[in-house]
Amino acid sequence: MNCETVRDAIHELFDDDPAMPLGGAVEAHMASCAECREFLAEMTALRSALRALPREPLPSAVLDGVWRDTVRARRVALWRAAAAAVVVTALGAGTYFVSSRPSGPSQAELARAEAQAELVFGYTARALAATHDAAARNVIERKVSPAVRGETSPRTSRRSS
Amino acid sequence: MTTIEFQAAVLEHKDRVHNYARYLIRDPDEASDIAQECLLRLWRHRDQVEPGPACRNWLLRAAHNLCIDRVRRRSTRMEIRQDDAPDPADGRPDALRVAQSAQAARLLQHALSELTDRDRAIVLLREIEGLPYDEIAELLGLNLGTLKATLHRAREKLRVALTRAEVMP
Repeated sequence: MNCETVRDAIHELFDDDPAMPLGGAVEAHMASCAECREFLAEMTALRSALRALPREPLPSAVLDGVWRDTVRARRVALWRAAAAAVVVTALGAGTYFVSSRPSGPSQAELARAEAQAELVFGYTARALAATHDAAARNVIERKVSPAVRGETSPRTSRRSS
Repeated sequence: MTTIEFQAAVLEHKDRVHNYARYLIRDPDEASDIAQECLLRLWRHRDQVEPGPACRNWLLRAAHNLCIDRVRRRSTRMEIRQDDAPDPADGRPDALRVAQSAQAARLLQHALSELTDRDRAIVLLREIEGLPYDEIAELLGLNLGTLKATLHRAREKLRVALTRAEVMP
């Protein structure tokens, strides 16, 4: 087994799991080859260095921008939709209320009512006139008491005499 | 994906997406923009994305595509900033170790930046994010053989770069 084959095996090892054993032939080569041992050490150090590279958190201002444009914006939109729904409902209810009110009388109904009123007033006026005439006749014909006719009563005249 | 699941996914994956974009595109401001755009896209497509690994892969794919689009649009490559390594002149053991570690990280980032975008993406997804090969292959549209051969080549470039810089053991 030569160095190139062993280094390929080391790469394969890093592709899978560096903790796995290299295998008898590779181990035997490594035991006698300082360069391949160094190669393995360098590969291990490289992986450690790569995983230790500094990692920076996403700046908080950027994260705030994400929340503002996503979750918070959705909340605002929901509140606006709810407010709009309330307004639309109120407008709808108002419109329904106004439109469901009984409409006013038509011209024909007004004319009919006026004619009926005039008829009733006419009857009433005639009845009043007839009553007045009958009362007058009763007074004239002495069918009612003198007090009704405007004369003093006999008892009153006897006391005065 | 419900709103609650979306919130959980954002909290779980936001840093992963941010760091993937940061190392792939090598520009902190653009990486933040890309991470934000990915999360907003997830919100818009939340009805089509399942929570869990599918969501993670969806976000990484979105970040990858956005990074590649931006890299293609810009003509010049950004250089890794060299001014954030601690001063190794401080001789205290802890400071020296931190300085060496920071130097190794800086050199590794530089070596990563020398890889092609695709090779760097493969290294990031496998070695940093720890994604399984089949998911990386599906995410990047590669077959497994090509993926493994590319990863071996990229690892070798990084190993050589760090060995030359004498930060390896």
